[in-house]
Amino acid sequence: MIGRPMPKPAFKEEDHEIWRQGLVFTLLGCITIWMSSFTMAAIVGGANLYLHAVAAAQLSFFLLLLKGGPSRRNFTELVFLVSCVLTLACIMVNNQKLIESGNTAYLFEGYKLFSLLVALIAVQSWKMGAALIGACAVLPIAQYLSWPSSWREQMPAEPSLTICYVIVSAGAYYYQIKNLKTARKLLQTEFAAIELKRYARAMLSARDLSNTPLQTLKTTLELLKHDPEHFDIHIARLERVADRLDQLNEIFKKYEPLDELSIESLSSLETLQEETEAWAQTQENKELTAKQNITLRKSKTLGFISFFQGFR
Amino acid sequence: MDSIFLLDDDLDLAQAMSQLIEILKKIHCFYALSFAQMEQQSAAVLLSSLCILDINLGMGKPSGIDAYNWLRQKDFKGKIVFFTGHASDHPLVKKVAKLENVQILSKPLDIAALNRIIDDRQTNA
Repeated sequence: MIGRPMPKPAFKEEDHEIWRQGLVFTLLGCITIWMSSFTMAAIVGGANLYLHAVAAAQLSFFLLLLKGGPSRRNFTELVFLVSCVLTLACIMVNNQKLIESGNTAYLFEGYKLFSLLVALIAVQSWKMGAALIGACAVLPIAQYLSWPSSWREQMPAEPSLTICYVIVSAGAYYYQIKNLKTARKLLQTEFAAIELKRYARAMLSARDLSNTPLQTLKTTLELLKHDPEHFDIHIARLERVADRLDQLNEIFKKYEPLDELSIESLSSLETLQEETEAWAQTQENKELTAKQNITLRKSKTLGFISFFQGFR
Repeated sequence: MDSIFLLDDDLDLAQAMSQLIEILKKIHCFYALSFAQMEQQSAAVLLSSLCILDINLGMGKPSGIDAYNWLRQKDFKGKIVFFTGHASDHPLVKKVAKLENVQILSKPLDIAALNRIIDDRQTNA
């Protein structure tokens, strides 16, 4: 049986990943900022209404993204960017309040966590990811330099410690992005293999369906040679065979070709041969792809283990 | 009287092949379009020297394998060959390939090859 044309996905996998990352980021932002309002109240005092307001904004961003779905990529990216800017602004204000109250124990912690979060979530747009991690290095330096030397003396490890975290985050982020690219490539190969398999199935079905009419055609042609007295009967049979082959052609008209293939190329025998050879090659590569997948998973796991061990 | 039996669910093919065999080989050739029709002609079928069985007789219907098993149960003495338009990876073709002493012919079959099968029916039966 010929497979039905595969429905085109309503959104790309990449859009879905960006949307998921936006959801995770805004939700985590909401929780951590809301919790930090209590920490700040305990350390510095005051109501810290700005933290409650930003936490509420993050929650509304989360709900907006959830409602919008993965298909609105530009909107997702904009919301994600606004969420990040608000979070960084909160971190800046918190640090200012901490240093003003003379508390240096938790200074710049927000930047460290934020840069690690960007790396671990593996922000899809590497430019945005790099800019966010870069901001986690630039902002503490700028804040540090803006403070009087009496304040600076209270924190001898900063801002170098934060910069250290940012460098590690940048490394982890690079590693994550590279892994993602490899995984995406493998996924594309698998998708191509599935598509080829479907075409191969369609071709086999076409062969199955056309073989009986072809046999009838061959036999009837032979009958025309040896039994010309029943010419009309044989011709009527040939017409029925032609009708059946026409029906087969109608079925194939419904079978949409891939976007990148033209109708012209599909009709050529050379392309058909190329495709069948490619399919055979894909079958051979399948085992190799499976092995690569396992290696990738292993390297990812080992990478994460070594990454976290580095923080001990 | 020597005869050849053909089982195929396609009426045009069954008619054309049986006519051709009769004309070319001067042997009586008869056909059935389903396993049920084959059973109805059981006496004639069991007396034939060659049974050509189409493997796939339609979705959900008894297949050529059922016909083969029936022939074996009835202690059929002639030769059995299978006939199919499916590729070798089709589940029914795979099943047939596991059977002993059977030949699978692929559609479309050359008339010369069909002649050979008919000529060899006595030697390999």
